[in-house]
Amino acid sequence: MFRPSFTEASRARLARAEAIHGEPINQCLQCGTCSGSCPNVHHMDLSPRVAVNLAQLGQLDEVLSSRTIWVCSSCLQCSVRCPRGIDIARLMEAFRALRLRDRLGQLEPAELGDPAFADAPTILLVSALRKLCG
Amino acid sequence: MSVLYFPGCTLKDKASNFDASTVSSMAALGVELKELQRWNCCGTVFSMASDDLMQQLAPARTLLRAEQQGDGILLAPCSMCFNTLRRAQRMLLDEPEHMEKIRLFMSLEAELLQADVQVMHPLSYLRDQLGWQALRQGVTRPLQGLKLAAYYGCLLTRPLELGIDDTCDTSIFEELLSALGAEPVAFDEREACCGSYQTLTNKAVTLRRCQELLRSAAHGGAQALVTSCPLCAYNLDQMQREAVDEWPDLHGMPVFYFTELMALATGLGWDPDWTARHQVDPLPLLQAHGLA
Repeated sequence: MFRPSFTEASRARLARAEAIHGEPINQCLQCGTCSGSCPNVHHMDLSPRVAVNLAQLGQLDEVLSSRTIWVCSSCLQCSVRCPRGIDIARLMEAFRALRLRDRLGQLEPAELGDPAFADAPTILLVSALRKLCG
Repeated sequence: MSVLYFPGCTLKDKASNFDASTVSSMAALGVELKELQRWNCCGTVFSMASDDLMQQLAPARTLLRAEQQGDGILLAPCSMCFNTLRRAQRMLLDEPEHMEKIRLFMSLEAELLQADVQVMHPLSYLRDQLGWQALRQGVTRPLQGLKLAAYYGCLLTRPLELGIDDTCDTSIFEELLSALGAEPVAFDEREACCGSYQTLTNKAVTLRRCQELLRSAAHGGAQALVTSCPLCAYNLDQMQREAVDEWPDLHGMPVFYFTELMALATGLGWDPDWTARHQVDPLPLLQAHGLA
């Protein structure tokens, strides 16, 4: 069970996130349409619904340290289906941005070089760098 | 009829078959594509962070070039370029403050940017400007008997403001395939993500998606998948062997760019250079239907 944990620090982090996403996160009714729509939910440790709930309750640290924010690929299926009009993919983008700005990205360019990707389209490398490398 | 054309980086490299078939098939339909001069990166994935305007500069510059060189329409066949350019344009028009900041940064070119060029995907261009009827008249070799799964992926239709259609239930891709004489099949996963760039760091994500998409397409009776995104093509075609290794009961199939099929249907034939761009050999299927 999740409990609200609003401290001065957590409120500051929530405000920082909100400045990036601008979404009415407290409008979420926890219906779970986002989690049911997500094609990659099987690879997430927090479902999108739970991630939004944790953010509502001020527990942003758990969200920021989750795999979920990196597995989200911004396909917008959740965003177009949300009955409350919340752009959940945009929330995830803001959470990733907070991590990337703290230099806590998921991709180290110097470690790229797998010849298996020699035939990969340019947009694979560039989009991964844009989304995962801070 | 001529229209301004933005190929983007991948069509000039790993998806050269997409570039060549776009230019040749549109020409066969009477539409001459003029490549944009001094184009740069589309921006590659639209930034949804409201304070991250730097990422909007690349699409803004491309939009400006298009305003200067074209007659109001910029054609972008790569789903990612189309999505990024169109969303950046909407953002500039909807957020005057952002537009002003971008103009200030662009310095000498500042006054020029209006962001009023219409970024179009060839699918909408064919439907709304040329018309399906005119396209049908240009079809000399109908793709009779080909059962195809039209794969929209995530970038062609979302967000809805992209304007391909005003619903989540568009049929524009199926309409094209029908006009080419092929048979579009029911495909439940047609608008579901392929896993995108996860391939690079988290291959399990895209492999699973590849498996689920192939199953869904095969369930509808598809003999091939059709896409307009080089990243979808990579995840579904180049990754397919690995997916079949992991799920041996999987029914593999070739993956085409829709423009390759347009080239076939307009009588241009299959360019042998395109075969090397495909992992799953499309020739047996095409030969079985007398198309190559």
